[in-house]
Amino acid sequence: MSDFIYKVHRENPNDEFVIVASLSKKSGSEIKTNEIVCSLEATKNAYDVEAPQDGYLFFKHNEGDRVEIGDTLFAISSNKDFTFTEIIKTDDSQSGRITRKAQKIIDEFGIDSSVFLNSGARVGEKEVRDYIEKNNLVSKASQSTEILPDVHFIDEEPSPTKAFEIHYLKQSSDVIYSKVSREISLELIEKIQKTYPGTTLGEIVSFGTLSAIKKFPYVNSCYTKNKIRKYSDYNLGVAINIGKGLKVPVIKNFSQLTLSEISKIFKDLAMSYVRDELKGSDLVNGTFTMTDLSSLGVKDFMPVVNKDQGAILGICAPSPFTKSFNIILGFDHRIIDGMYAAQFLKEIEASLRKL
Amino acid sequence: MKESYLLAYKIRKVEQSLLDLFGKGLVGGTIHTCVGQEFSGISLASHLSSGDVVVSNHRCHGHYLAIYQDYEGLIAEILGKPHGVNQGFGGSQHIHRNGFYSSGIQGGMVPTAAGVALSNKIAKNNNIAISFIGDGTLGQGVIYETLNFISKHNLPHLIVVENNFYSQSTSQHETLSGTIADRARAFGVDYFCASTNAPDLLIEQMGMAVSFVRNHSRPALIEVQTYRLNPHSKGDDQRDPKEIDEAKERDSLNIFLKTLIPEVEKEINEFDLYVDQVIKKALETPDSIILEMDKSAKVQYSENKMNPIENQTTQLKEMNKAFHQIFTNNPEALFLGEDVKDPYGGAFKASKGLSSHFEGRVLNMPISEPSLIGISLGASTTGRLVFSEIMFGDFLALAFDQILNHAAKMKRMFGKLVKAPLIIRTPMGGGRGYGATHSQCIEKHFLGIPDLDFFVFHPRVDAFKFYNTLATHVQHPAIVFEHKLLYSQDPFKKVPDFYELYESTEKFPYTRLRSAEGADITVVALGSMGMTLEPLMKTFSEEEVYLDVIYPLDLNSPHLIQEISDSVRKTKKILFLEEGTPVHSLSDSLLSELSKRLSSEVTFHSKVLNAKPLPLPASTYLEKQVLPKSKDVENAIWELFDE
Repeated sequence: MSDFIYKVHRENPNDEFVIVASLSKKSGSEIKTNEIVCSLEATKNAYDVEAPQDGYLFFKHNEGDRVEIGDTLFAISSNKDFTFTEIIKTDDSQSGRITRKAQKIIDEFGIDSSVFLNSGARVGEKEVRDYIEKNNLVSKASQSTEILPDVHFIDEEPSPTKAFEIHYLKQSSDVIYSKVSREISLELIEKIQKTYPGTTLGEIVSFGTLSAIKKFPYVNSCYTKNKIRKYSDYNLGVAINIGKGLKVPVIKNFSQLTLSEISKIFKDLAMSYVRDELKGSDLVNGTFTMTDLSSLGVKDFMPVVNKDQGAILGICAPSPFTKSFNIILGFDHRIIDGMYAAQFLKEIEASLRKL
Repeated sequence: MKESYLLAYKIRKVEQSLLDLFGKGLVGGTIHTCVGQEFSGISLASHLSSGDVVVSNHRCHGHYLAIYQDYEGLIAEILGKPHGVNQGFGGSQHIHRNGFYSSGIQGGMVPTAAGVALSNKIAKNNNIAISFIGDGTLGQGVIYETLNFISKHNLPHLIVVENNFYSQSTSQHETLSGTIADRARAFGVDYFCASTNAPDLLIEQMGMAVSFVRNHSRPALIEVQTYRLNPHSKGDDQRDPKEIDEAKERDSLNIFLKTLIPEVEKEINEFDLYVDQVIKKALETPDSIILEMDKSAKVQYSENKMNPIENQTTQLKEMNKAFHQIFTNNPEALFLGEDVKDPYGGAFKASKGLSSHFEGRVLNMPISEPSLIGISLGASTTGRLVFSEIMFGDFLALAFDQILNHAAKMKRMFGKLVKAPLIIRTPMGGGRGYGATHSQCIEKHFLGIPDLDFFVFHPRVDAFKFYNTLATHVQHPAIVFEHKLLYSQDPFKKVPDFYELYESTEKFPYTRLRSAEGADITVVALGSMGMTLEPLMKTFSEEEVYLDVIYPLDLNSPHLIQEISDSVRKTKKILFLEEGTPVHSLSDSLLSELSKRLSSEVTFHSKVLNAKPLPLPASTYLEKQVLPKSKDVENAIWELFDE
């Protein structure tokens, strides 16, 4: 069997490099097909790389290294004494010819055509479309033409973190957004906090949500390829931004948890965030998201539904005058309508009253 | 004789009344009265048989009334009323009823009458055709073409020349050389002469002329000397008033009216009252409105996938086969053209073998395109299917009046559908080095003429099927443009890789080459341009660029523009390929219609490829620089693709 060379590929268009989060084995050790080789972190998302074949594993980089897109990260060889020789760069003339249609799409999407250099056969429309789909690219034309304001200004590139955020949110650009709010008495929360000392507003509302969500399956779903995908798993993403950028760690199967367990997990997540200990695997597969702006005095906002999700719950700050606070469901109107959303919010309150 | 004078009085009374109405502003346009000339039409009326056809001219009231005595029909017609003989569509100059036609084009319908006479001759039915012209019309060339033809073919056609010595207000002395009699004799046409000042002799002479034509099946020309007492139409008279007064003194009807006998006076008074009533009734009747006369049901159509099987044929072979088939099925059908009989069989051999198989039904015409079309049209009005071949499309220009003012007018000018199954066909186009006057694509000058069915051949026309279908369904004049390069094309040749051939289910389908891979650019290829396009399609496919190619056939099909629009909605790009010159081209016309349909819906890019606007050079090398070539098509496709 020939040697397998793994080159880091681009997960999203703004990535220039990945960080090697962890290596599961040492260089030179044996590995079986489908075993995890390493975890990589792109600007925000993280992913595991599995072995495509059996053999001896050789890394070219170490944990924590920044590896440029296109660089070799590891090799799997049947030869126990494998060494990295310089990988010969593919000659242009040997690469596949790009058809005019394919080239046009490449131009439309601003793709670096060198990504196709290694293709053996003709590079056609299909290959390019596949690449676009895989990388969730957006054509230049679909970005609206900018009318420049008649004032002085400086254009600044968004930071990689911000760029990823935009990219991430843009995935759901064809969603028809809507939102519904409900006012909840602060008295209710204070009553619960007496029974469960140390719990925060956000933790209590999260618990109410997990009790309600099973009765409202469309809240835990997404609209994809003209179908409504209802998730059987209940994975709550918790949007956190306490100074190091927005991250959305995911609590898997949260509908089974008690309020005390939720409270502990929340506090652990906050700690991991602060210490930069959130792993790639902590950030994926959310089915529903909660965003808590109660500590910032926010009265009302429009929570933006995340990719591959159908709804997001927002929590606002309590008002000292009304002794109440708002919870907001931002949702994809293709799945949920206002009435369904309102009933869901009412159910959250009802489940809190049962505590 | 008393009856003839009474009839003359009635005609004059009607025309004077019409002039009164005109003076009151109740008649629009113009009228040409025959006051003083009435006995000309009257002299003919009593000698007509029921199958005879009379083709009159702009001054037709007297002819029509003499034959039909339909005073109300004419008055109501001129007042634009629904009970007019042609519901007001024809008016003063364009009257049609059974065997009667008139037209406002001087001399233009003389060949029409000759065509009727030709049809009569072939049918051996003893009917004759009569055409009325004035001496002023003797300047028209088509008259002499017709004299030549009717004499050569011994046709029962009587030409009545009403010689009133003036063209509008221009004296004959300024415009006419030689004599009218010599004109007839020069063509071997028998000549008769009489005057409206001697009505009894005129009627007798006319009777002799009609009998001669009918009994000998020979043409004749009768000169009727007369004088128009009124202006040409209304105020346009520069003649000497003294001359007019003298003529009024000599006028037979005026003399008759001076010696009135009481019984005639009674009839005259009764008729005057009748005309007043007819006018009153007509004025009280609401004006005619245009009804959709040609209300064909909306045709459902779709597209059929075709599986062409190459069988070593050509469009020319298929066409020739079709003509043989049509002539077998339709024993009435005629084929007229220059040099179309065997052994020559036409300049491009389209009619090869036809004259040998169908004797007497294929005619070698003199070199005279106007009368070729006019005679074909006339024969077709008798119900015969007539093919009229114009040797080179460029020569259509000679016959433009016949096509525009006569053939295309026949269908609806008279307020009712008049059948004339005439198929005009001609080869077009360059690529053969024939030079500027034998290579043009002048289709555009004929597009948009109302009631002229318009077909353009393309490389995949099944000519056998097309002509058989057209021959079966043609009711009104149609023009078919065949590109001379297409004659050698196999319409069933293999389609380019990645493409499939489709045809609409219409009677005269458009053809389409489509790819399962999709469509990036819509291409409308007119005429022979598909021959340039198809070999290039492989190049485009290699670059994954696929075309939706549409070959129009029936340019007036509403489905054609519908399909082009639907295609452009998807591709947003369209290329027109046309060999004709730019400006008002077929492409421009389609593009304009496309814009009307799509402008509010989609933005699309378009390109039109034409020949350069130059007279086509004869040298093959120079000609290639003027006509759209393969490289131009390729560049246009890439430019559109890169838009």
